[in-house]
This record gives sequence, C-alpha cells and structure tokens, in this order.
Amino acid sequence: MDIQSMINRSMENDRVAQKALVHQFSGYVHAIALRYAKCSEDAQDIVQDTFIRMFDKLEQYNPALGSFKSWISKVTVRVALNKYKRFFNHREIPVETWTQEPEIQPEIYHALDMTQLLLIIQQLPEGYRAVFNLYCVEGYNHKEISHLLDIPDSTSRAMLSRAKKKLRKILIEKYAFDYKQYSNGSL
Amino acid sequence: MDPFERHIRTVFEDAEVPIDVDRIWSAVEPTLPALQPVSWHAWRKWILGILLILISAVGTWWALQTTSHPSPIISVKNNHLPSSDKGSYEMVKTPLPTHQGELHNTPNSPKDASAAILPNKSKEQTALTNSKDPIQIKTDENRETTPPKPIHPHASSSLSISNSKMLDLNGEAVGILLSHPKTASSDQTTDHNEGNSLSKLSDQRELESALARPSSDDNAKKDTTNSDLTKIAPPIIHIGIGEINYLGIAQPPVLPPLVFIPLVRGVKDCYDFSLKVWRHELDVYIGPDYTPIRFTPKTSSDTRYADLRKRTESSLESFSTGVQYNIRHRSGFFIGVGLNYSQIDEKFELQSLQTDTAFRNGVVRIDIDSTGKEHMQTGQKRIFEVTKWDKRTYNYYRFLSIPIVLGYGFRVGSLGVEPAVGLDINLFHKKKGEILLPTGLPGYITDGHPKEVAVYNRWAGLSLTGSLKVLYPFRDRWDLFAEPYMRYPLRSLTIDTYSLDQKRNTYGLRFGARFKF
Repeated sequence: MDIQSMINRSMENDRVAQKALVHQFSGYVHAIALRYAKCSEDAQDIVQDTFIRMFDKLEQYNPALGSFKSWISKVTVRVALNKYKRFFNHREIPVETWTQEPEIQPEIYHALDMTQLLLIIQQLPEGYRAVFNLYCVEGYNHKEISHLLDIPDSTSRAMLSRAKKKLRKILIEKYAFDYKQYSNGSL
Repeated sequence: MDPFERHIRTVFEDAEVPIDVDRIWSAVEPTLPALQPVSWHAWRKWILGILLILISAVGTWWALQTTSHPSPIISVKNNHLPSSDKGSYEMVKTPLPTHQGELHNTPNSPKDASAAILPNKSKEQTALTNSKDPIQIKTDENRETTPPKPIHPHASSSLSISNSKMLDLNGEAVGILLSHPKTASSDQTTDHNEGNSLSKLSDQRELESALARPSSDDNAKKDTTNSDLTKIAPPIIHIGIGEINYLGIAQPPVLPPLVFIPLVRGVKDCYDFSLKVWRHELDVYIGPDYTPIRFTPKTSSDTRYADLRKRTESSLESFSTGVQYNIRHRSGFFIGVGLNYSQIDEKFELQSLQTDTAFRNGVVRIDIDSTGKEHMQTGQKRIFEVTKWDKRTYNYYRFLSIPIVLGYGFRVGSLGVEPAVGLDINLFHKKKGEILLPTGLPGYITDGHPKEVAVYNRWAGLSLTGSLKVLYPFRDRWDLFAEPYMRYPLRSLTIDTYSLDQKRNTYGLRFGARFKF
C-alpha cells in the first residue's frame, strides 16, 4: 500500500490505513516533536496531537503542492508551536546589538550525533528553541517566522541570535570546551 | 546560513526517532470519526451469500429426507419371466403394501392377472378387485381388464402392467409413492400379519380404511408434507417383469408442486459408471486451506533462528481454487489433470532492539595542565547506536501448479465417494513481503525487488497430494462436492545455501461442482 492509497483510504475512515500512516510517520513526527518539546513527554503529546490534527485535515493535503512528508512536518511544527504559543503572546524582545560571532569549528559539531544535538537544543528556552528550529532546520526566514509566531521580525532575529549564543554556551559547558581558545589555535 | 546550521539541518533532515506506536495509536484512535456503516453494496453480497447457503441447506435437507427411506427390493426370478424377456434384470424398488398380500408375477396364468396379484384372494376379494380396484391390468399376453373403478377419490388413474416395455412412468411418481408403503407396513405391524394380511380383510370398507389410514407412529416421525402425501396417496402395486422396473399409479396423486420440483431431476442413484466406457468430467472448486509454518534448521546453531522466524511470522489465511478435468473408466477408476492456484497470506512482525557500534569524531580526552587550564583532545570515539525495529509487513506466497491424480469412485447410498492420490507439479512460486534474515534484520523476499534476498526457490517442486471427494448429485449433469485434501511437498521451498529448510504442508477443504459431459 503506497502513501497515496493510504491517504485515500484514511480519508474514507479506513482504520487499517490510518494505523499504517501512524506506523509509517510516527518516527519522523517524533523526531520533529523532540526538537520543539522541552521533554520527551511533551514530544509524545505533540505526536498525538499531530496525528489527530492530521486525520482531521487530511483532505486539505494536496499532492501537487509537495510531498506528504513535508506536509506532515508542517502540521507537526504548527502543533508544536501551538503548544508553546503562550510563550510568544505579545512578547517583544528588544533588538540588541550583537556582533558576528566566529563560526564554530566543524570538528566540534561533527562529533555530535543527533541525540546529543537534540539534548542541546532542548536546553534552549522555548522561544529560542522554536525560532532556532524554524530558521535553521525548517528553513523559514524571519518574515515567515514572525508571521507564524505572531512576533515582530526583529524579535525573531534577536531570538535567533540569543539561541545561537546559548547553544555555544551549552556546547562549551557540556563538553568543557573553550571555544575561544580552540578558535585561537591555543588548543 | 553558516556550516553549523547546515550541519544541524542535515542531521535532522528526515530523521526518525522510534516511539511506542501502539501507545500513540491508542490515543489517536478514539478521536477519529466512528467507522462508517457498511455500504449497501457490501450488504448485498452478504445477503446473497446467506441466501445461497440457506437454499443449499434446505435442498440438502430435503434430499436427505427423500432418500432416507429406501424401498424394499423384491427380486423377480427369471423363471417367472416370459422367455422373451428373461435376463439378468432385477426388479427394483417395488414396495409392496403387505396388507395387500404378497404380489407375484404369474405369467403362467395370464388370464387371471388379478388373481396373480392377490394369490389368497377369495371370491369376495376377487369381486372386490374386479369391482373396486382402480388398477387396470395390461399384459402382452392378456389384455383382459377389469373395469377401472377408483377406490380412492384421488386415485382416478389406472395401473398398467406390461411385460415387454417399461411403462411410461417417470421417476417422479415412483419417488413420491415409495414412501407410502411404509405406512402400509406400519399398518401391518399393528393390524396384520405379513403374507396373509389381505385375506384377513373382510370387506371392501376394511380394505379401503387399511389402505388409506396412515400409521400414527409414522405421523409422528414424518413431516407434514409426507403425512399429507401418505394420506392422499393411493395404494401402489409394483410388479416387475422383464424390463419393467417400475409399475405404479400412472397419475400421481394431488401433490403440492413444491414437493415435486426436486423430483424432476434425474434418477437420484445416478452413479452408474457402466453406462459408458469412458466418461469426461470437469470439476471447479475453491476452499480454505490450513498451511502451518514448518522450519527445519540445517545445523543446530540455526535452531534459534528457526525459532525467531516462527515467532515473527504468523499465518493469516490461505485458500486454493482451480479446475480439474477427469476421464473416468466405467470401472470407476479415473485420472484427472487440472490447474490449481493457492495463496497463503502471512503477517511478519518484528519488534527488536539492535545495538551497532560506530566511530565518530569527537572529544576523546581532556587534559588539565599545571595552571588548571583544560585542553581538549579530539579524535575518533566509539559510540553505540541503538536501532529499534518495529515492523509489520503482510506477506503472501502464491503457487500455481498442475495436479495429476488417479482415483476410484464408488457409491455410498446416493452419494459418490472418490479417494484419489497424485502428484502436484508446481509451475511457479511467487512471493511478496519481508522475513527475518539470519543477520537479525528484516529482508525483502519480494520477487524482483531491488533489495530482494535470495531465500526461496522460484520453483516449489513436486508435491504428493491425496483427497477424498464426496459428491452429491444435484442435477442430471451436475454434482456438488466437498473434498478434504492434503498436499505434502517433496522438497524445501528455500535454497540450499539458506540456513533453514521450509516445507509447507497444506490441509484444505474444497467445495465445488462437477459437470459431466
């Protein structure tokens, strides 16, 4: 049974096809949810809500506009953002002047696998985490992020900047890594 | 986008993290809309199926009812036959109401045929026969008849007796009337002794009442229809002479048409293979199978793997369908060749954790110098990757084969029984799905799949087959049958280099129809 037939049968309320869809995409949805959630329990809630919403809005999926996988990832992101929506309500962060930080050396982050990266991302505050994910992983620009989160562009930029700083800090703390020393070649 | 962001995106792109799917599904399912009622289209199929089953059941029940009271057979000795009609014939199905006395063919005294029928008859009884008996007796040698006068209000027809030709009586009338003498014999057990019971009848009224009165015991045993028939059916006198098989009341009594419908079919005991030297038949069948999964490890170290395969694969359903063409000798032996399609559906489920070791670049050591400063040493570090398999695949195995069987058919009552044995020659073996490989990972067995793992032979080889067919004559040229059968493969389905031997014994029950050319 291919994806499209599973979708069609799911729209006809075929339990077998619906369950097959859950089986097929649960891992993928879970990976997305983990990035936006602050813990695995929250991630499971997001996965459940995503599938509930997915079956509810399944008729809105248009194969001509993209793959089902990308559609379900958007659904997941929206469900996750809704979960933490209260965080963004009327939140405006003053734009701070931030300087371009030196890039993190590839040897450092290449050493991190997905689980480690997830743990680091989950340590970000909710808003920072969302903006970081939307910008760096999902590929949204700041305008789209501001529209999604109902925040000004400037806030999105500031959040991303702070998220990166925080990540750098976590990387250094977690792995006892003096980034500056490393980048200066003193290591 | 800096390289770090690109790396993050690459890592998380299409990433999957296993999750307890059943738990998710159990939470999601209650929120889904209720299942839609089955469409009328599906209901029609069910109704049609139930109707067919009901009709089959009623027809079978009725047929059993009508064949469950075999009539007595009275042999007629050849020396009683006229010389021109002597032969090996046997008078069959000539039930004799014993309260009418024994009936004998008495060609030596043709002039008094009625006397031959009633040997102990007195003058009064002779007069009774001549005056009241509705039977008109005709013989080739003596056409003298007594004037017909119905004894029973419904029995207005006459009985013809011929010693040269089978009378124009069809099986219907005989079939119905055969049940009547039982009533008479019941009367005999209560009122009269066999042989001279008729002589004890003192007058016509008594005779009439004896003939017309149904037994109370029989009434209790028979259904309403039969009781009605018994009441209204006139007495029967059957005499077999020469080629005469049946003699009876030519005009059957007034009967409900529904009762007569099944009697329109041909003679029920039609498994007479001596009619033609060779006979051709075509069987069409379909039925469920039971195919237990059987693995035999080639070495003792493969035992665990065999056990794992049994645990990860479970049978769902299987069936066979096909046609078979038979050529039958009149002795009862037959040879059949056909085309058989079998399908086995299975479910493959794998839930396991697998740990793999991999090497990645990373911080492998932290040195602290005398000033307390930390120095990171990078290099390759060993990490463990845990993979959780939660897989469910529906497999199928399809077989197309040519069965060649040799069998023998014989009668048991009105049914035909045919044991047969033979060889099943597989033409091809197709499969689709996944199985657990010796590596502990699932692998594709789908024919033509790019990742297909060579486990099964393309050809399933030869199988021994045996069956026992039970046939029920449904129409003149049609029989219905049920056929338990089994098939035992002679070779393994798997290739020689595979760790296990796999054979599929098949036990099934076929239902079908036979057309006799």
